[in-house]
Amino acid sequence: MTELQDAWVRLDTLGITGALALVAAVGFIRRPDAREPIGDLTPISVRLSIFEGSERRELRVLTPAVIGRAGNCHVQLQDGDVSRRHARLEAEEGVLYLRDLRSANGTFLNGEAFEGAIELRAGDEIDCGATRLEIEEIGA
Amino acid sequence: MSVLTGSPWLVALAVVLALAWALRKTRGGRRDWFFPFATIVLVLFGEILLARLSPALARKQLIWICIAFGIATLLQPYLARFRRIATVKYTWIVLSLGLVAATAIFGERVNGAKLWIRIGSLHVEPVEIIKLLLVFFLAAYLAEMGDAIAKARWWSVRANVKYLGPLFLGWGASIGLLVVQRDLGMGALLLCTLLTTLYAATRRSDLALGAAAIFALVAFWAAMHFPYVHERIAVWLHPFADPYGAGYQAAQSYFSIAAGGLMGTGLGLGHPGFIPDVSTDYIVAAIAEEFGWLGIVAMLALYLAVVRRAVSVAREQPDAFASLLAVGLAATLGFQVAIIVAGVAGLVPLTGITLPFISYGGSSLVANVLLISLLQEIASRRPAAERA
Repeated sequence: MTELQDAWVRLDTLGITGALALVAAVGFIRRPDAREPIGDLTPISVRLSIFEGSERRELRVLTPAVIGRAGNCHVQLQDGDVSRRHARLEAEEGVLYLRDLRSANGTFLNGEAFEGAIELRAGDEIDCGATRLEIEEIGA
Repeated sequence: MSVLTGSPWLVALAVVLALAWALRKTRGGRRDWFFPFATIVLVLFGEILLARLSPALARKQLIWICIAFGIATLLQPYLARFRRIATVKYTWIVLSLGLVAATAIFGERVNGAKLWIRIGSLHVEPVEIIKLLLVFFLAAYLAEMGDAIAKARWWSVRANVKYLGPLFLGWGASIGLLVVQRDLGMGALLLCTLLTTLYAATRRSDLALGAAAIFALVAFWAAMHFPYVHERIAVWLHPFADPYGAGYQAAQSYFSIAAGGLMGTGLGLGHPGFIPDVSTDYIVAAIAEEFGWLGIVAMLALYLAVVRRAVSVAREQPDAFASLLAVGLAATLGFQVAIIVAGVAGLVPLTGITLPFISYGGSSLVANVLLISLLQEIASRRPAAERA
């Protein structure tokens, strides 16, 4: 093999190295947050009835709305069994979803536990700790 | 240097299957393109290297590439429902112990280790599948018990035995059997995965340190009692004591790495053929020789990018199971690369495991493509579940 051919082979080899490095660099670019839902995220307005102890109050929120004990939650609950960030109301393609935010005591839809996120309809009952939230109206 | 060492039809089939796997549709949801993209680049890099090192092995590997992408594409609908894995967690540990036992009974001995089962004309290495099954069990078990283990005080024998007992029994048995079968590399890999996932689930460093200490004691005992382990360590400490005997492979690999220097000799211009197992355990030395330090750094950066991305996928998961599954898979891939690269570089005693996607080896390729498929499914799940 001549010197020139060797030089070409070395260049090719460097090219392969460069390609590997380039792909690696692409991988280091921050990936979009997969938690953020896809598609149309136009907020949906939700009217809720909240039964906390013997009290009942009504609230109207826009998605995305976080339910929890923390002060900055859209739906703030005083219940000790509710996590600081307990669950979230989300909208995607015009559909309302309830997502459990890995709460300690879980979120229940109509008395049943669920994983991840689940579609909501009017009349649904959500249980967080000892507090019950009722979906009165969606998209009003 | 041509990748076309096999028949053109086989190459075409491999390309079609790889594309079918990479472009397959997931139900709804956003896709993470990087995982299949990086995998195909690594597989292609491996095939180029094999074609240069041993055209016969490259032809065989091409068949395995077709099988791996074919299986991954067929299994994709099942992988998409990966959360069901958690519902049958003990099945995975029983299955993997069964596979280890089957290997011990029906296995064929190659290079002093009994790791392969022959099915027709194919040699299958069940331990590659076991490494995935054990991650399934680990993630499912810790998703359920992680909080309890995290809250248990380290001095509370009862709580620790109760919550950690099943975990360590299952894993201890698997790792123990692997060590008895002389598969130290896989044993070390499973241990690293266990420690990482256990720490991710519980944040208890005493557990990780304790388990690592126990392993160190067992390794020391093994080094004293198994001549095979003893020899590995002797070669690691003194590779040039017996350069034409036990140390031949290690010595040749060091010469290869040294010959590569910064830029490498160029593909096909080095002499990595002097290393006996250059297509499998020592492929890193061949890369170091012909692609140089730069090539190794670029390759490691690519693996790191995949692992880092897998960890960021794990952080985004809403539930503990998916999160721990991603951590376990990331640890499996990352530590496999770390163990073999550190072994070839002489930082730790060399243990025979493959460099994922690049080394010759069908079972390893199939298992690692499935690993990436699963990671991609975890990364690209549609966030909202359908209502039953």
